[in-house]
Amino acid sequence: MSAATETQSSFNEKLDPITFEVLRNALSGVVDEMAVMLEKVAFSTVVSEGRDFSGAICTPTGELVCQGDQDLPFLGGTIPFRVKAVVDTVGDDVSEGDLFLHNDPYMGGSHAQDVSMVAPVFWEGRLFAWIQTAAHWPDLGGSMPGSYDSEATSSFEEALMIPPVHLVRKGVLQEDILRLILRNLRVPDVVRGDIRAMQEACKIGVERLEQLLEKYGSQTLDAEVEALMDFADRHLRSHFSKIPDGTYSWSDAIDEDPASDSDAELPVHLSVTIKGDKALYDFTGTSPQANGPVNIPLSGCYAAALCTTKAVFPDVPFNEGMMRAIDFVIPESSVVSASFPAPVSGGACAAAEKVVSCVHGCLIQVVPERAMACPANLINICFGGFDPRPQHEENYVMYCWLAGGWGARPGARDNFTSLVPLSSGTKIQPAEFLERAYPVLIEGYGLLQDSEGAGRHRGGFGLSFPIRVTHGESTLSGLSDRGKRLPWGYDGGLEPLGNGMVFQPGTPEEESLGVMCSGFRLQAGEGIDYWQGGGGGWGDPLDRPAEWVLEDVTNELISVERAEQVYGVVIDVGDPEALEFEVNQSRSEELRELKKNERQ
Amino acid sequence: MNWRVGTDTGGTFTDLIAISDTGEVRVAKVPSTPPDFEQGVVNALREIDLPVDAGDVLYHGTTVTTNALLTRSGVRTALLSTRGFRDVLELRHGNRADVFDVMWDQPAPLIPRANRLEVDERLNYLGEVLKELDESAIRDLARILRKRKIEAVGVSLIHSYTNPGHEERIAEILREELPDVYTCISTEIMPQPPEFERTSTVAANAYVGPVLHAYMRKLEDALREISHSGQVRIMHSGGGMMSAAAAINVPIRTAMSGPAAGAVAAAAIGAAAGRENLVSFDVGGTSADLTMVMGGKPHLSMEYEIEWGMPVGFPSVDVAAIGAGGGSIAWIDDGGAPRSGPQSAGSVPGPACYDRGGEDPTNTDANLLLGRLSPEAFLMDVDPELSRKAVTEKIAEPLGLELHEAAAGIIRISNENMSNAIRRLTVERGLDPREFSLMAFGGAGALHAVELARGLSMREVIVPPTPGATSALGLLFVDYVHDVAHAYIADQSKMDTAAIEEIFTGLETEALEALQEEGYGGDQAEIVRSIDLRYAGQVRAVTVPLEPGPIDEATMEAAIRDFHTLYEREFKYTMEGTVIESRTLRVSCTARTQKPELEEIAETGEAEDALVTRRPVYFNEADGFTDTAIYDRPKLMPGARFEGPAIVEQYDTTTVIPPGAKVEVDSFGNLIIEPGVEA
Repeated sequence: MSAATETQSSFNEKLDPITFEVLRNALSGVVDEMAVMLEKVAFSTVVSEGRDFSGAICTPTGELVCQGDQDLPFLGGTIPFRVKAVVDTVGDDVSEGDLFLHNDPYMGGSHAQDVSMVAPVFWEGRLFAWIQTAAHWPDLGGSMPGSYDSEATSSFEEALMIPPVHLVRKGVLQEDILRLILRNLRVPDVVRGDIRAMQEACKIGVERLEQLLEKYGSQTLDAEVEALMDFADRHLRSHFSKIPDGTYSWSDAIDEDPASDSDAELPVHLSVTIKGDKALYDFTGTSPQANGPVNIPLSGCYAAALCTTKAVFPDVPFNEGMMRAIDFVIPESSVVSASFPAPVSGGACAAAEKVVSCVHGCLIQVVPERAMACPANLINICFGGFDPRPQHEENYVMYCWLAGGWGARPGARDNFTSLVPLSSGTKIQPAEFLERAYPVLIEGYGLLQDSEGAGRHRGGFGLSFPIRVTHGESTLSGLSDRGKRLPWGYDGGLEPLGNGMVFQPGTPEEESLGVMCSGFRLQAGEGIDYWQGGGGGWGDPLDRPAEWVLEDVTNELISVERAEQVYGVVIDVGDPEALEFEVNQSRSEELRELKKNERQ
Repeated sequence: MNWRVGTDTGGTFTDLIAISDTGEVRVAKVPSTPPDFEQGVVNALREIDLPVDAGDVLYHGTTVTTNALLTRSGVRTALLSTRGFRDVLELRHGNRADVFDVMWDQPAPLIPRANRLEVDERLNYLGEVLKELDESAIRDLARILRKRKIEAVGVSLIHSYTNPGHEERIAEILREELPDVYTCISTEIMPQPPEFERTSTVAANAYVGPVLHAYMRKLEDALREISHSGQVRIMHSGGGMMSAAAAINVPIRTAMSGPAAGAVAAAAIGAAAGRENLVSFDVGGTSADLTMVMGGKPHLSMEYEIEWGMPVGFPSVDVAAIGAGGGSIAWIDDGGAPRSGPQSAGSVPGPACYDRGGEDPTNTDANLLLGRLSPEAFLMDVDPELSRKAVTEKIAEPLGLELHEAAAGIIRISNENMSNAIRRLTVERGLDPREFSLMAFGGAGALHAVELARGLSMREVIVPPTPGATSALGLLFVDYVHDVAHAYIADQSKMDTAAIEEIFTGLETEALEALQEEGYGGDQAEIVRSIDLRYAGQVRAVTVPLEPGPIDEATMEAAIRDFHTLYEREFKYTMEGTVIESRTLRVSCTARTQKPELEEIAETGEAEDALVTRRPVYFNEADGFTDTAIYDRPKLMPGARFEGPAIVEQYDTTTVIPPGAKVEVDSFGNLIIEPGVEA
C-alpha cells in the first residue's frame, strides 16, 4: 500500500484531506504568530536577538500537536513533557485566564534557564488545549551568572527551580509569585520584560486558537489533532518500513565528569532496532549520571532523539504521533535521564549532543542519503558582573553561544556552519549589539581555517569568537564538551577540530580553559578566545575532487599544507594576490597514490 | 496632447500603460526579453504607437536588480570589513531557513570568501577610534583588487554608523586608485547597526551597481533610437521615484521596484474610490505579491529580505511574496498530504493544459476544470483534457477524490497559502484583516480574491478596470521621494537635542540636494522627520513621526508620548516606566509630481447588458457545478449590480464571484465585491 492511499484511509468523515492541510497550516500559523510577538517585545538579547525560545500547542493531556516553524528544536522537544508536568501538578486547579510558569528540569524541562509559560484554552466549557511558550532566561540565580556552574554537583547550586505555579490566576497577576522569582535573579528588570513578552505571546496564541475553534468547531479541530498525530505516526513508520530490519548501534562519549577525580569518558550508547515499521531506541549501555552538570533529564533525551529523527525525516510533522512509531528504553539515572538533584545546566552541550550524535550514527548506516556525520557540539558561555559604564551602572549577564560546522552528508556536497541542530532556531547575537549592551569588545568572529572534518564531502568549518572585557571585573563560566573526544567522521571521513576556550591568547598569560570553567575572573582589558569546532567528514579525503580542494584553498578555508597532507592535493601557488592557485595534477595523483599505498 | 507613460518589466511580461491629459488610456502587454529587458520596453512603446516628444519621461519599474541578485548574475565584487569580520556576510546569524532538515543548504553568499578582505582599524560603539586606519594597507588592497579584476567594492566596517571617518577615507583612496571600480560604503548607503544587515545591504548594492548602470545606459540608448528623450525615472522599493543617476548610486533601492508600483497603484485606485486601507494582491504566473496600503499610503518595512539571508536595510514597500500563482503545481508529499507550490510550471512548460509538456496539475488547470476559466479566456489554445489527466493522475486518484473535488481542493490549499500570507502582513502587526479591502490584480488575482476575502472576513474585494496593467499604472502616481536615515542611539534621559537637530539638518541637506539634482526646488519639498524609538532592550523599534520645527525638549517629550500610543496600537499594551531609547533618525523628503486623474465614467448601465452567456461552474457553496452567468467586463458600466455565482471575463483577467457574493460597478469602473459569509 502506498503512503498516499494509506493516509487517505485515516481521514474520517469529519475531515477531508483538504481541510486537514488547511488546518495543519492554520495551527502552525498560531504558534508562528506567538513567536513573532515574543521576538518583537522581549527584552533580553537572548530572546530578542538570539531567538532562544519555542512555542507549541498541546492537547488537554499535554500531547504535542504542533510547534513553530522557526523555533528552537531541543526546547520544542521537551514541551509535551513540560505541559504534562503542569497537568500532573495542578490537577483541576485550572481556569480560564490562568497562566502557569514552570522550569523544573526533573518534571519535563531541559535545564532551569528554559522557562515555560503555559496557558489553558477553554472551549464550550471544557479544556480544549494548552498553549505554551518557553524561553531561555538570561539568569535564574544560583552560584554563577547565567546559572551555568560547571562545578555544581546538584541542582541547588545551579538555579532557582520553579515547579508549575500560577503566575496569573483567572486573569489576575500573582504579584507575590513574581516578586519571589525576580528577587532571586541577577537581572530582574530584563526578566520582567521577558515575562511580559511571554504573556503577550500566550495571549495571542489563545486568541488565535479560539478563532479557529469559532470558525471550524471543536469537533473538526479534535479530528484534526487526531489526524495530525496519526499522520506523523504513519509517515514515520513508512520511513522505518523502508529500512531493513535489524539493530544498528552507535557509541559516543562525554569527555569526562567535571565533578569527579576521574578523567574517564562517560559513554552514551544507542541501539536502534528496526522491525517492520517500528523502531526501538535503546540507550542501554549509557553511563550512569555524572556528579557534574553534563547530564540531561529524561525529557531532554526524548527531545534530542526525536529532533534528530525529525532532522533526518523532516517531512514528518513534529508532534506526539512520532512517539507512537518509536519505543524507547532509557536506563534510569543515567547521563541522559538524570534524577533530581543531579545537575543538568550543561547537559544541552554535553549529553544532549551525544544523543544527536548517536541517532545520526545509527541512521547514517541505513539512510545515508538523509543523515550526516557528527556535527560540532554547542559551546555556551556566560559573562556576568557589574557594568560600570556611565550610562549603564547595573548588573549584567551576557549569555553567548556559537555556530559550528555541521557534519558532512553522503547525499550532498559538503556542509556549512550554523547553529547546532538542537539549537538551530536561534541566532548569533550581533557584535554591535553585544558591545553596546555589555562592557565587552568582540574582536571578530570568523570561520576557522583547517577546522573541518576532512572527507570526500567535508564537514562545515568551526567558528571562533574572541571577546575582551572592556570595563569592570567579569566572571566567566563556560560549559561544553568535545575538548578531547572529537566529532566523528564516517566511511573514511575524518574528525574535525573540537571546542575550546583560551585566556589571553598570544600573550605570556595565555592559559587554556579547556571546555569548562566556572567563576573565572577577568579584569578590564583581559579577554578570551573561544571556539566551536567543525563537523565530521564523509568518505576518503583522498577521493575528494581536487577542484573542490582548490576552491577551499582559494577561499582560505583550507591551507595549502593541509590540502597536501590531508587531501593529497598539491596546489601550485603563483601570486596569491591575483588568486593564482592551481592544482598540480600529476603531483597530486602521485601523492594520492602514495598515501593510499602507505595505508596498506 | 501630452502622455504619461509607465512601464513595468516583469520576468514574463512587460506591461505598459499610457494616459493622455485628456484621459485617454492605452495599454500594451508584450513578452519580456531577458537578458536585454530594454527591448521589451521598446517593443511595448512601439505597440501603443504614440507620437514621441523630445521631452517625454518614461516612468519605469524594473526587475533587473532583483534578477541579478536572485540568479547571482552580478559583477565580480569585493567586500572590505574590519579585521575579524569578513565572514559576517556568509554566516548571517548562524541560523537556517529550515531548522530541522539536514539536507537544507544555505544560499551562496554574493561575494565568495576569497574576495572578502579585511582592514586594520576599529571603532567602538561610541564612534571612538580604538585602532587607527592603516592607509597604506588600503593602497595594498587596491592593488590586490586590480589584480583580481574586481568591478565593484562594498565597504562595511564595525560601528561605522557612529563615525564615518574610516569608511570615507577608504572610499577616497579606492576611488583614486581604482576610478573605474564601482565603490560604495555603508556610511553612504545605510549607516545603521547591526553588522550583518548593514553588510548584506552594502554587498548587494555593490554587486548590482554596475548591472543597473549598464541596463540604464542600454535603455536610454534604445529609447533614443526610437526618438524618445531617453529620460527615465525609476521606481524604488520605498514607493517613490528616483532619477537614473540616483538609482545607479544606490541600485539596491530598486530591488522591490515592481511590487512597489503595484502598492502605489492600489493606493491611487483606492483613494479615488474612497478606500484608505487595502491589501493589494498581485498574482501572476509563479508568485503572488501582497502589500499593504494604510491611511492611503503603501506600508513600508524597514527590514526587508530579498531572499532568505539577504536583508536590505532600506524602507521597502512591505511585500509578502509567496510561491502561489496560476502556474503553482499541486502535488502530494511523501506522507500523502496534498500541497500547492511553491514550485511553478512557469510559462515553460506551463500548466498541463498548455500542451507544452507540462504534466503536473496547476491552479490554472484546476480553474479550467471547474469552469472558472474558459478555454477562450486564454491568450493561446489550451486543452482541458490534459488538465483532467493531470489532476486525475496526480491528485484525485492518489487521494481517492472525485476529479472536481480534487480540483476544488487544489484551489482551497492555494487559497490557504495566500491567506496565511495576508495574515502575516496584517495580524502579525496587530492589524485586523476585517478592516481592509482586498484589491486584486495581476493576471490571476481576481480568480482567488473573493474566496480569500471571505475566509478572512475582509470587508470587500476591489478589482480595478485593467488588472493586468495595474502595476504599470502605479508608476504614474508616484511622487519623488528621497529617504535618508542615520543611527542615533541614546537613552531617553541622555538624548541631546542639539546633536539630534544637527543630524537632522545634515540629513535634510542631503535629501534636498538629491531633490535638486532631480530638478525640484527646495520650496516644492515636503519634509517629514521621524525617530525610531523602542523600549531599551527590545529589538523592534517603532517609527514615530516628529512635529515640525527644530528639535527641543518638547518635541522629544511629544515623541515619547506618541511612541506609547503607537506601541499600544501595535502590541495592545505598554510598559510605562521602562526606559525608552532612540535607534535611528529618519528624514523623508517628498516632491509632489503631477499625476493623471482617474476619470469617472459618465455612462451607466445594467448588468444584463454585459451578460454574454451562461455555463456550469463549480462552487463549493453549490456542492458542485451550477448554472453561472458570464459577464463581459468591458460592457459592465457603472451602476451595474449582480450577484454570484458569476464570472467576469476580460482581456487578460477572469474574476470569480462565488454564490452569496454581491457585485457593484463603481463610477471608476472598479468591481466592488461584497464577499458574503463563508458557507
